[in-house]
Amino acid sequence: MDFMTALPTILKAMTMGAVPILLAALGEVFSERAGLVNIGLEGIMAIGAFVGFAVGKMTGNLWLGLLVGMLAGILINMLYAFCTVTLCADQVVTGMAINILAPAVALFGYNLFVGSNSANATGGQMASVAIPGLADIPFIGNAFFNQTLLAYLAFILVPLVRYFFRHFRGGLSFRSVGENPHAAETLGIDVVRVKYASCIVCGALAAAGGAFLTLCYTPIYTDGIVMGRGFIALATVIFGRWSALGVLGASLLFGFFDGLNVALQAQFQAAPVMFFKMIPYIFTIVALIFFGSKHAGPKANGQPYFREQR
Amino acid sequence: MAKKALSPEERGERRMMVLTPVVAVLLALIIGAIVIACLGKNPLEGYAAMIQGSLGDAAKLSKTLERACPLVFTGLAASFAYKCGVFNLGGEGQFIMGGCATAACVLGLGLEGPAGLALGLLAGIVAGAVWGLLPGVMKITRGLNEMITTIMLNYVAMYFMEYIYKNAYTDNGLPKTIAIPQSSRLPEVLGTHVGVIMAIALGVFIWYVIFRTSFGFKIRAVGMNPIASRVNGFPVRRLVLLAFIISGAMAGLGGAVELLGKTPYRLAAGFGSGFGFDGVAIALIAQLNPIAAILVAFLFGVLSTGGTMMQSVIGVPTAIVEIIRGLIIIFAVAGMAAVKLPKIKAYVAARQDARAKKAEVNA
Amino acid sequence: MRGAACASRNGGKKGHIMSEIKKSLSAAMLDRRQAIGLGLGSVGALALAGCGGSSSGSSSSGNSSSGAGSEEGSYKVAMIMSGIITDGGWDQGHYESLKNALASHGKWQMLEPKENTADADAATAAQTYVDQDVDLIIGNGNQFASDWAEVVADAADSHPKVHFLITNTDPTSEMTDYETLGPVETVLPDFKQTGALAGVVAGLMSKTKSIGFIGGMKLPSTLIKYSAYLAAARKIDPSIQGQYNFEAGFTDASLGTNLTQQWIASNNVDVMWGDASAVDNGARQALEAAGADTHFDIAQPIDIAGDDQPTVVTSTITDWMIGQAMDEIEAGTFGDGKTITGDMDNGGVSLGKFSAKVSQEVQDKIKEYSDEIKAGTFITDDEVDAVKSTL
Repeated sequence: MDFMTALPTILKAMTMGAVPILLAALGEVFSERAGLVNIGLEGIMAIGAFVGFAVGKMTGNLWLGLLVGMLAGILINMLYAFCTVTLCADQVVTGMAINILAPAVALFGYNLFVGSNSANATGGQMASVAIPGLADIPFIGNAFFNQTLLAYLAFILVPLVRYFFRHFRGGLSFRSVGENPHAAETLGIDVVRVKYASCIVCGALAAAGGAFLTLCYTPIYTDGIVMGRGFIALATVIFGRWSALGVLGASLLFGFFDGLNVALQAQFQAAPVMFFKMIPYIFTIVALIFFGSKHAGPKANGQPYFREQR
Repeated sequence: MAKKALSPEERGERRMMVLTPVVAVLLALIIGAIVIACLGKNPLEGYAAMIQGSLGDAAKLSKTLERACPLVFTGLAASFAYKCGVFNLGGEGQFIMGGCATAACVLGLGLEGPAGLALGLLAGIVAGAVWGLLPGVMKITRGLNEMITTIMLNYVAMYFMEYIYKNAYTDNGLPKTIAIPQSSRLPEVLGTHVGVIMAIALGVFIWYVIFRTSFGFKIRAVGMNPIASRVNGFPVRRLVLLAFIISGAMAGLGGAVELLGKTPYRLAAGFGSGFGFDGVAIALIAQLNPIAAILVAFLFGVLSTGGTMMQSVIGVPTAIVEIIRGLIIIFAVAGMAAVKLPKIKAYVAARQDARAKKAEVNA
Repeated sequence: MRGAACASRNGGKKGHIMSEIKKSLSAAMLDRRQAIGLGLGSVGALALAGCGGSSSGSSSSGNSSSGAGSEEGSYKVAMIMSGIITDGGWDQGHYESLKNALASHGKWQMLEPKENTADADAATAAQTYVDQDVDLIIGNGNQFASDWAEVVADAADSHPKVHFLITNTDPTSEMTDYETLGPVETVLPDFKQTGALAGVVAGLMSKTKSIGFIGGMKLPSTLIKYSAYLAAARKIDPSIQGQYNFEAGFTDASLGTNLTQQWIASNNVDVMWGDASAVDNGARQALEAAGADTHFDIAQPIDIAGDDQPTVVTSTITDWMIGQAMDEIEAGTFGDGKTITGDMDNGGVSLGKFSAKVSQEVQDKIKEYSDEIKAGTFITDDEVDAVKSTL
């Protein structure tokens, strides 16, 4: 394989593949910064993907589709928030429940919306917007500067999230809730409210990541369209050390290895391609082995918070 | 156990713990019925078809048992691991690797007869254990969260199985392995393969190990409070690693049993798909009790085989059954958490009382 | 549980901690009787819900099955598939074949198709239709051949009215473990013709002399299709190069996009033909992004050329000959493991409508070559096998 010819396309696949993971992972950063490990990302993304697709198709307005998709993601994540914050249910358990329930709801909605009417099966697509000048840079131009608006928004979100957590009062209170909720409470921070707020952001962003799949990647919804991206997003949060920049790097790296997988499949056609397909997942494990550490995360991550327990 | 010593409150609470999943199932079925009714179909007719299609006669019952069988294994695997505080979400990968090892053993070595059967089962156990060991080692040495590593390993296992059935032991180039020879299959007892009995026996055995042996006590103690267990001198890391291995071995055995016991006796696309997460859900609804897990797995079997019947008889989308399943899980989770809330309040209050008294005494 | 244990962390002496753990363990633990009660209760709840409806339910479902049996000249047909009827490919192709057959067979009525059938539920799905005495049960693809051996054997004895039609299956090699093939037939379209039709179109449309193919699964039919596709295209221009992937699955559209982008960038591919449902959709995205005026797609297996598909120049259409199976059942000649062949003579294989991007001149040529393919004179089996041996 001529690697240099394949490289621009790999980079293009990298940026395209990174966006949904990045969005979901940024949502998860909010959630985990407030002490909530949400492994239900996969399910929320499925809901976002379906609702974004269906509303975009029904109204013809893809941005409305995205918006309603995000609202649906918030709604389903409120279920998670209620169970984990109000009822203090186990976070992993609740996340798993979301992962089983949400795709079923999406599939049911698909059955109702499309059913046997194949005219409804193909939705709309956001157009790519090339940034004049920059898009012509060799190798990276097409990959980074010829994207859909939603993708640009996702990348712009990274410095914003970074700024939010570093300099914004709200961001600091998020962090204190994740580090030590009881101390935060004594400082006058409403821990429960912060946790709910984090779930709203997480649901919206994860659903946006899902909606990217149907609004910017392919115009159809299929059961299982998320294909484990929610779990990959969880891994990128750890790999990226709970920081927006880290998550960006991690999701781009994952996107790169996924693009490499496809490039290898495209060129070594007679090889057993299933081994190429393993690459992104094995890479994730290896990356975690070398860079993931349990000590880096928010200290109260994953623990239930009982307000009375002072 | 010290059953007589239970206070009325505690007994009431335990009753709540039993009642919660039942209520969750009922609630989910009622919501399912409402959805079906909204589609203009008769929900009662649908549920009748579900019962008829899963428990209607001996043949249907045995099909339901065989459908539930792999879920018992993955459910037990999940229960055991969680008892030790290990969130093994890799049941599917371990199940698949078990099936792959069995296929390699029986088809690759060309073993026939009981020797193939025995070695196949053994290979399944070993492969599952190894696939469970990997995330265990990563957790212990590098502190990696096993939820993520096990899920990544599920994907690796899935693609590895593709290699087994498409390249290694393909049937004439078709994407499925050669069928396991007749002589190496699990024998049938009362219309179902003997794996069902193995699953039930394993459940009872695991229940005994967890609740009646000192090893089980240590496992539970580590799951409850690893720090206290370490203080108490328990080999926490070794116990956690063992939990990974045993959990993986059970899932792997499930894969072996599924391949050796159930038609089409082959590996093909979709083998084991979703069984791992179903197992997790079963373990949670059963509140990590192995014997309850068997029964919940059976309920899932009823939902699968009966749900197929309901779907075709009254003509509703397949997703209805999935939704009912998802609702059962979420109701059970929420319900159990809600039941525990006042307890924790009382517990904290009692502690505070005690502390206050202690402070008084000190003063 | 975990919360309570965490709260006890500040205990103090070892013994104190352990006794606390013991206490919380015993409180959280269910004994055997309660566990059984728990499970039985939940199963019982289900049974209760079912029994409540069984009086009305069983009678009405009984009516429908006996009604169909007694009513003279009325038949039922059901379809079981792994995907969904709007997948834009395999299962939609089957569903539309069935609808076409129903349109010309007034005595037949269709039951709700069984979509998203998991591997583990494939046999049960067939059994549920056997129980309803459905006259014709259609399985979309050879994955059902290995799952249904037992169901067919049971039904052959107990439900003589029920017939099975499994598509894309060669009974001589794929159904060797069947006890009986009495109620079974299979459908095998002439995929050499399908591939050759697509190859002719690709050969005439490609400017870069580089064509691609994505298959969902490495089935014998996939290999034949691609071999005939490349052989036919090379008949038109021997310099044509072919790129292929047979392992793309049927759901991951993004893989189709990325693969096609790679081929466009590295190999200059400008015509794609797909056999992978949703993945084909992804391939069309990549073609469109590269320029719909110079990059073309040949769709399969349904006719989708139109304004909303700018890259699709035409479609190779497969009809699964369900009408013929219905005729045979009505005449009582169905079964014994016969294979129904679909080809260009009986309408099993055909080309769909052309888009405006195919000039009249090219259309005329395609017509001319199509007649040769139909007569079997365009490409020889040896030429197809020569390509196949390189895969």
